[in-house]
Amino acid sequence: MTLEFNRLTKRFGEHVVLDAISAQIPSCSALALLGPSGGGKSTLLRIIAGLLISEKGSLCLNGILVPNREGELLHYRRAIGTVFQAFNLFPHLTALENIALPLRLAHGMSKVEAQAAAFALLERFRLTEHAHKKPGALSGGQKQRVAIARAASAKPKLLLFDEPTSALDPEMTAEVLDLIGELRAEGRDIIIVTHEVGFARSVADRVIFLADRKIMESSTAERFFSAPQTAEAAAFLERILKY
Amino acid sequence: MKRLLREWFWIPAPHEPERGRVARQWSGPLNLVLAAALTGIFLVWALQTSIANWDWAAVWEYRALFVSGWLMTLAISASTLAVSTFLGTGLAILRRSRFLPALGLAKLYVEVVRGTPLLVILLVGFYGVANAVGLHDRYIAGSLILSFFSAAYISEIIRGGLESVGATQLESARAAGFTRWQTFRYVTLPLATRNILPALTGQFALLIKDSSLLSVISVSEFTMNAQQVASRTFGTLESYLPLAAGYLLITLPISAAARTLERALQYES
Repeated sequence: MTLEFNRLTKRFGEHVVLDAISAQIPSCSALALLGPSGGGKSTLLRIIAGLLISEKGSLCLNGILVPNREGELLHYRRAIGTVFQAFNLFPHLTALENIALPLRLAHGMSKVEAQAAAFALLERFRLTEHAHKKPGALSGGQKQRVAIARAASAKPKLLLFDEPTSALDPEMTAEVLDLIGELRAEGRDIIIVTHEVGFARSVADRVIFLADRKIMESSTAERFFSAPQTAEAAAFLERILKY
Repeated sequence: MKRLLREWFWIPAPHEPERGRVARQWSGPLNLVLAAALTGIFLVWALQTSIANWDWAAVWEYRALFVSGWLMTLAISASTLAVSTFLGTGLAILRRSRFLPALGLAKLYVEVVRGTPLLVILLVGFYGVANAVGLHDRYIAGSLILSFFSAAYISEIIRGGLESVGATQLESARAAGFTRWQTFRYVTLPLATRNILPALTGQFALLIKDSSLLSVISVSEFTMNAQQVASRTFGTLESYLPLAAGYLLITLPISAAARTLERALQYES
């Protein structure tokens, strides 16, 4: 994928979250958005996901301008899978229905096709025994795996992850990260906001370092981790790798 | 002895040991029966003078009037429940509209109707509005006015329910590529329904009982007919006890149905 931001600005009320950021990301397949909390990573991811519309500036994904009207964004979003920190499964639906419903409503499958596709995915993600449980009866790791299955179900070219492991304990983190690694190996492009720097280092080939409403650094993963160019990035890496 | 009392008359606090299976299962029904018996004893004591010389024969003569009144109340209730839920949903949606004139109108409507006595609304609605639009059937007009009145309350209940659906659920639906209608139909509605049900059931019961006020525009419903029987037979208690039972006969099944539906929509959040 390629990405291009052009003076992208996002405000919430008076609070500026992204301040006219510009960057060109040449061809890459896994992009990690890193940086301290409150730096605008999740906001940027939501703009890329078509869930937020920026006040100013533009964004191109794979050379195509991302629409800034809700009506057009609907189709844009259907081609992208998004996974959230808090799983965001529908609490009134079973794991199976959580995956099957979007396939039916947004991707034109019949009920039978959608159920079969959802079941196949659960099987692949080793969740078959939990197919008919509602999210309340699943562990955090299971919930996030169902959420990832849902995001990947329509076979989107691009998958977005917003701190997918921040709400999980270490054991569950590992199983979720393994799954993301698998999807990446399958040839799907991913963009991930994460605090798991070790994982970012192993999976990503590009890094954007966001701090203080700005892109501080945009470089290859290799260069970012071995020789960060800005003092902020160096300090961030040092802090996070200390323990 | 102390243990036995605890077993049968107390629900243990979360940190206390569980009760035995028999007590767990049967203490609820037992206490319900006890409560009913106490209520019965109190009523008999309070009404002893009337009971001493009550006369059901006179009232029995007028049983047809009770039945027709009850059926009328049932018909009015059923139509009003349906129409007011529909109107209330519409109002709740307007109330959450981002189009300011619609929002203002809905707000004004809810505030004015909730602050005005039903009696006034019925009289103004029937002799004023209904006359002006040429609607002279007092049964249809009465049901409609009652529906519009109740819709103001129902809309606030529904609005609360709609607002209880978390922003994360809505974002999730947008991320999945649902249209606004699909989001409403498959996410907002089922999640909100469960939160709305208890308050809505109470509102329905109020609505059914409020239908007795339709007698002021001469709709011969249950309460009005019972009043007539009472004045003709001088059997006050004999007319009004069946009236109470008749209303319970409508409201209790609705409560039961709502509880069943609530259980069916159960989920842990």
